[in-house]
Amino acid sequence: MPDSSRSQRLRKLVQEIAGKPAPEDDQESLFESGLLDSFALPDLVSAIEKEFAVKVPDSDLNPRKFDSIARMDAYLSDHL
Amino acid sequence: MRIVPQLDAYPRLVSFGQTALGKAVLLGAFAGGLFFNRLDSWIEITAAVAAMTYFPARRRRLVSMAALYWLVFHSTWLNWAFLRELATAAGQKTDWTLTVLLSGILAAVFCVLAVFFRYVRARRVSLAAKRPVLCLMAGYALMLAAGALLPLGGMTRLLVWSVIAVTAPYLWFFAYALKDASARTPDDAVLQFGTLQPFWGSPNVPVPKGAANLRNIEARNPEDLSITQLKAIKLLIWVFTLQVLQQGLLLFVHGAPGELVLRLIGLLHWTVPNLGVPTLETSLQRAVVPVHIAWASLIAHFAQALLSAAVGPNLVIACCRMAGFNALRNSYRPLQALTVAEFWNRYNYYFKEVLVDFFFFPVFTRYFKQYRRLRLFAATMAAATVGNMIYHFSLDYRSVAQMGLWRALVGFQVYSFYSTVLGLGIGISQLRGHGGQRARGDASRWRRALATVGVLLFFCLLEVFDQEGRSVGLGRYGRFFLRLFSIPV
Repeated sequence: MPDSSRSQRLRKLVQEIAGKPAPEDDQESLFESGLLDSFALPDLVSAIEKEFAVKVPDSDLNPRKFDSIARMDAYLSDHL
Repeated sequence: MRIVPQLDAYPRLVSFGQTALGKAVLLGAFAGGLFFNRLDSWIEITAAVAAMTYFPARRRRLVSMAALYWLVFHSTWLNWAFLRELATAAGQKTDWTLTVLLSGILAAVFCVLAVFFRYVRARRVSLAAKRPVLCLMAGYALMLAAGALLPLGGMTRLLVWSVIAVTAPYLWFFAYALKDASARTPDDAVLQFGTLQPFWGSPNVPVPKGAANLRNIEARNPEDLSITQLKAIKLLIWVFTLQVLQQGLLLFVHGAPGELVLRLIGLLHWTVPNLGVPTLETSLQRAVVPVHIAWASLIAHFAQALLSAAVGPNLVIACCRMAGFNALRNSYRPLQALTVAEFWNRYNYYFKEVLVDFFFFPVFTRYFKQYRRLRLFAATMAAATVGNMIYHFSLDYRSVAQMGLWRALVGFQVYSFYSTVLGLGIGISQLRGHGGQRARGDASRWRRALATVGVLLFFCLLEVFDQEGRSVGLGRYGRFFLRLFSIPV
């Protein structure tokens, strides 16, 4: 279930990593829009681990799992 | 101010692009764009794209059919000159019999890949299925070593080197196909075939990656398709603008205009003065070059490299988008990069993606897990240095065949040096975190400008060593580099 405060925190993280504001639409792909790239994925995942005190296993280190704010939110819903 | 209008942001245009007339207009604009961008096969590409536009449900099958057509009629990625040399040396004819032989070899190579693909799907726990790309690379390396080290002659030599020459241009495409084999629902063999040297052209570097990415970025409905095609037209206009700039630069700096500008000048009866700056290649060959000329040659070469990365590959992306796949551009505003790592990502995106997918992630997910910074640095070096070297060495089989393995390896010293410095630069940039990127919002305009100049200077100086030739040693490039700073050698 989407959590608005978590989405806000994720937006802030994305903005910090990308250096640009996250898109308004939570479903919009961050990688396809060029906001993030796979090279930045470890940074994003590390930041998520730190912010939400969650451990992301290496097998989940896949750009598609963190492709949008909505997907990150869904991932965290499943793992928190 | 925008040079190219945001065509895809106008709702009326997007709606118009979904009508039968709108599609025809877009296809006409696309054909014109290809023609003005001097793409030889503009008629065939437009015909292929038209079929995909009017039959979107069969798009992926049509992509595969187009790939087959290009393989039969436009297989420019195969090194025919090298293959003919081999055949002549083996006392074989270079007529249709060579074509038949190579067709057989190519079919056999595809069959082996298909069998391996099925094996990876069926035996997920075996080592080969877990590391299919490593197996692919090991197999290719063994073939290369066999071709170089075994005392082969005649027909055997022709066969071995033909297998290598036919496999090499597909190597990284095969890697993406094998990566897709471990996906939950991968594409079947027919659809995979369309991604192996696709018809929109992407010599050596798979653009836009493999089948998994194509599934992700394919237009889902008529509106998606219209937006994607408008983006294609927009990109074609941008590429044309850059081509004019690139050729104008060639004319103004070196006095050597490209064909496009040459025609324009002839048409307008212009006389254009030029700076007479020698090319970097010429400057490198001269024993003595004044410092200002050395810098001018280097900067002009770097500007050309930047423009080349934005012209050719983005033309490929425009064709891919017109076919209905919303692929990212290859080169995206590299001059806005604030860090070395960001520049590398923006400058040549799809090449970087190959290295990230097949070198960065495998190292990052396996080694130094307890040491965060070391882990990131090792993965970056694996991609930008080791992967970069392997990528370029694997494709230059011709040097190995002609010079022998050892001499080819020794001759690779300049590019190895380049890759090492590049890896170190990106690795350090990564370790410094995204400080530069975070600064974007709050840093002063001067600080950002300074960061950009620093990044560009790094890549510009590194360009001295971005040489894949095997006949000149590192010393000559090193001397040129020192000459830039008036250091006597």
